[in-house]
Amino acid sequence: MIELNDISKAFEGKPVLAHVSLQVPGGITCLMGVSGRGKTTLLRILLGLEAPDAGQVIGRPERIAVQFQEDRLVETLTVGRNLKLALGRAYDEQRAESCLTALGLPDSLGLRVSTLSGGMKRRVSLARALLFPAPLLVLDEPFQGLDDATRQRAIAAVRAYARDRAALVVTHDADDAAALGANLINL
Amino acid sequence: MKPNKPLKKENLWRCAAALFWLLAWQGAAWLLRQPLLLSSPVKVARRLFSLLGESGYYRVLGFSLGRICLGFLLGAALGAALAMIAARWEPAEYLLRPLMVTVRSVPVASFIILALVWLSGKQLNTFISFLMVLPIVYGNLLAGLKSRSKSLGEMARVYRIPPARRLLYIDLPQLKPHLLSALSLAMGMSWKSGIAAEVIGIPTGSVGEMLYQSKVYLDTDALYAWTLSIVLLSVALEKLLTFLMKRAFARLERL
Repeated sequence: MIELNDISKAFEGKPVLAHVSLQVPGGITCLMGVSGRGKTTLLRILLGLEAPDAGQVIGRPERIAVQFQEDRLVETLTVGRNLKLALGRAYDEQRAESCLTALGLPDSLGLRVSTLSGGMKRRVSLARALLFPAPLLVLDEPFQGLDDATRQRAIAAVRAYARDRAALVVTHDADDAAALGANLINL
Repeated sequence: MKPNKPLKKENLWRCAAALFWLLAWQGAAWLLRQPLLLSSPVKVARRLFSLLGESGYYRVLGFSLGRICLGFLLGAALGAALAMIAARWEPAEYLLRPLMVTVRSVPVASFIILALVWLSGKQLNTFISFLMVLPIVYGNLLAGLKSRSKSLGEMARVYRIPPARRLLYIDLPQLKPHLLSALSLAMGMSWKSGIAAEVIGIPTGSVGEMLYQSKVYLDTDALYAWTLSIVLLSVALEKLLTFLMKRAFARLERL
């Protein structure tokens, strides 16, 4: 169980989060809320990339698998290289191929990221997070920009790869949250 | 096949431009009829070919090339190290700024004369080329390091990518344009300033000494032939460096 206790954060005097508390239990939890409510800031605090002005994060695991809101892939490298770079020794080509196939990207390990479409890059960054061995999976708008069929594949993959760990998914879409079978937290 | 056409046309224009200026040079020499003031390209080429047949020519070029390249390598290494320190620790950037601005702004001739007080003529070209390369590599690399993607840095942090892999696969590809422009510019500068230092310091057996002697003995053909050698070697070194670096980066992407 990971807890965020009484978190407050302001940027240049503008409060973004005020006394927010939440718990991430096992299974999939969806963090919902309209744009500008500080969901991404909360994730950054959870990841340790931003320090809160007040409050604390309890039980933050050492390793966290993340899909950021942007793809954050190295454009000059291939899909396989990007995965290997993040996964290190945990990289297994067969597992990577099977995850990419589940996301609708078979035989893409050798493709250079700069040649991929936006939707393909989104799925590669999702695969990187799903394959990373960590007790907590954090996904920020993982299905953004995906068509319906691909979205369904991605949802199924997230459900499969989040089975044995806690997952926190930021989404605007209540249908996606329902399809994930997630606990809901409204910010 | 398409891209070949403009390339061929471009090469044709380049050759035509070179031919035009060679003819203009030949015409000017013919009109002036003062070989002491202006040698003709035919005479310079003849002299250069005769130099190419002498073993001393290569020894002289090797002497200057070795020392100037040593200065280039030292300047590039120190410039890169200082840029990395300044990018990580801001006070270092403020501390180094006046030094780099001074080195960049002071005329190279002043440095050569000042350095002659401390160093022998043989060490002078290495020191001057080092001094010219240092601020170029430092400035370009620092700008590159500062413009690195913050988001990829965060990704590397969260995924706990080790520093060496991060440098190889995340940082270096982003620094590629900065490194390429810095090193090719620095190579040209180090070669030119190193030869200038030799002309003033006159170390025995250097290209600078040959230029100086050509001037003293009014051997204009030799002066032009040595100058042409410097230009050709400078272009060749710059092209070689760019080629090697592009190849190294291409290999890095395939690793």
